Amino acid sequence: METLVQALISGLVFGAIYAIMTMGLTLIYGCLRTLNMAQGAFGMVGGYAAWVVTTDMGAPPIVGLFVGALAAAGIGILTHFISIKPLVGRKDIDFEMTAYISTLVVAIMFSAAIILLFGARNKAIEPLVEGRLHVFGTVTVAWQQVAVAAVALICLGGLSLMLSRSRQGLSIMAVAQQFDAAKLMGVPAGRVYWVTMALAGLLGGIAGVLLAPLYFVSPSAGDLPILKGLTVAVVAGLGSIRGTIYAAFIIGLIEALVATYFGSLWSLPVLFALIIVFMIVRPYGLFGKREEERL
Amino acid sequence: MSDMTPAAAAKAKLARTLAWSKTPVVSTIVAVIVLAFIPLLWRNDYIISLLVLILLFTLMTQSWNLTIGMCGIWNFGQLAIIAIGGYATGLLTIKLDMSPWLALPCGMLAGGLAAVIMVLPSIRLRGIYASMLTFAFAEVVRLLIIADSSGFSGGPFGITGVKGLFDSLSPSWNLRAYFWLTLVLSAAVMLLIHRMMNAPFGMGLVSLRESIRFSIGMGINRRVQFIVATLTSGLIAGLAGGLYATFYHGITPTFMGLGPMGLMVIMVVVGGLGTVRGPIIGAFAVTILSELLRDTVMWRLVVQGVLLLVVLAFWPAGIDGLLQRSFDKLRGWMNVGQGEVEGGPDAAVVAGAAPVELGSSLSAPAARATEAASAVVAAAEPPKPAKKVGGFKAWLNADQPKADDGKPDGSKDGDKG
Repeated sequence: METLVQALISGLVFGAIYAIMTMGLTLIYGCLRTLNMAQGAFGMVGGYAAWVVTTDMGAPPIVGLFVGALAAAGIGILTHFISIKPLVGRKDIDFEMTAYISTLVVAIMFSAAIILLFGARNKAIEPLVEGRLHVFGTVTVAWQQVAVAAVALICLGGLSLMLSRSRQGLSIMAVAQQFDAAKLMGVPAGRVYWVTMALAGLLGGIAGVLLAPLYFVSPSAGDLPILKGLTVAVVAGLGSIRGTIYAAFIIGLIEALVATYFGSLWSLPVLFALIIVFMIVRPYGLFGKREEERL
Repeated sequence: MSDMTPAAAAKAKLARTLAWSKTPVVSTIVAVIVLAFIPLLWRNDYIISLLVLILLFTLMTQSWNLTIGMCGIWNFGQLAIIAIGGYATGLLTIKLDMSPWLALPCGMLAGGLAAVIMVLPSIRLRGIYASMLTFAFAEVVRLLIIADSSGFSGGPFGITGVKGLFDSLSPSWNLRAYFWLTLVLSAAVMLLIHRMMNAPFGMGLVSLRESIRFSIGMGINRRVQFIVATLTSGLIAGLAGGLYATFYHGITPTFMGLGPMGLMVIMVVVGGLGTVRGPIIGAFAVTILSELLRDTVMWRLVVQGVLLLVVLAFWPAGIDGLLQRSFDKLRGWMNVGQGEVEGGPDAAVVAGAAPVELGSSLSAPAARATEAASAVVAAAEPPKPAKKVGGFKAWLNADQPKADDGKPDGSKDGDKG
């Protein structure tokens, strides 16, 4: 029982991190109709920025979180201008696949650049808060996990406010729902694109900084998150915001339960095997458009 | 087909001729013989081993290009297939003490089987979903190998001590023997793929890539086409993996990581995705470039990445597309003033628009689909009335248009937010 509760708590916390990370992928798919394979690299860069600020300069971890998020947002804009902007709107290429490939390669370039700058060694980073909270019995929760969940919820809340209230958010939604109509109504699509990339970078950076104390900061720190993010995005159905949140928590819980009962080595293989079965049964994800199944 | 207009008949005939275009067998054999003298004249072991590596890469990129470029299946798990071939070959020589010459075909079969298993569920998925499924398959394979602590597959350290194909020869002759073997094999694979892509079968693949709805409407059987193409690709991948494992006497799970995959992506795209020559050009160009930059290991990746971004932005058809374009220009310049192509304007259009080389898959005007598909249909026999069969055969044909296929979906649409 207590093991189960412990696993559920950790699953929910990971689900929250996956949710904010995958939200970037979902927003970009919604606007640009391609997957941003550099999303994991955004988190990795955010982790490094946070490490520089907190360990080298001695700033408190919360400053690290902000700096990491901003740095990742900058990297998001950079990614947009070097790998996506040159391809948008061209008739002679298959944008979806070309952008997929170019962002994948940009992600690899970012890790190479990080190795050049900081070396290949793993860096440890301090958690936002130390200590553990006793819930009941032997069940304890690290305050870091509480903080992670809180930050993730604040991000999701802020994001939903932004998307439904602010001018920028509404224009993102407009472009995602009806590109041509949005353009005709005067939404500046070019700006929406890079704002979305910046937003995705911001979310990815926050996720990266939150994950950093658990997994270390390393040049390959983005590989696993992007795989999980892809899994979540595909289970959710590409481009569905509601689906992303459900799928993130489902996958976080599955992973935590498998890790608790079968050992953490098995959590990923079992997860991916389940995904393969899931996609055979429901090829368009939980909330994706049915049309995807046909082709 | 009796009620055809003369122009359409001429067009169909031309398309048929083009569909069975000649494969450059003789010139390839001559080229192989000429290239075979390199290691005898240029006695530099480093260069020869580099050439072997390039030829191995050629096999790998060809096999990957067959699924991702020619069929348009977003297959991002090809490295796992190659590694399965390598592991199968290596483990057979180590555990069963099999001769590597016997283990190599077994590795090929393992690769082919694994490829079909991987691609079967993703046939009906579109784009990114298929990429996710194949990605997940590759990750499962990689993680299972890493997680294996029984010592069977060597876990994260991989296997070592795989028997080489030419262990009895002296090191430098061993190297040369590998060079000749991989040279002949990659030439053979190139001819095979060229032949395949210029037969109605390959035309069908290209037309499926360009427009699935249209091709199915034209009577192309998607499942049969994709399974055969995947099997071929898997066999080539297994062969490449087996050669890799015997040449380097081992293979490790890092072979399946993101880094090597990025390298393969760069090779295929820089060379020209979806063309026969592209993967070869890409393997040569990228490997030579990275050898030139080998003192700066990490800058290498950055430079390669920049190269890819530039190619994608300016020449999405890759180096092969550039070559093809200049070749076409040359031909056009030679034809100036020679009058119209025989058979009227229609045939001239077909002759111009359905070149043997079907162009890169990244540059995808829908018109090519029509050309390719009509070429296939023109070249194929008139369809026999379908017999009623159950089981596997029925499943294979389940794709074919049904009465209700055109109905709009009643699915919910507004899930965003």
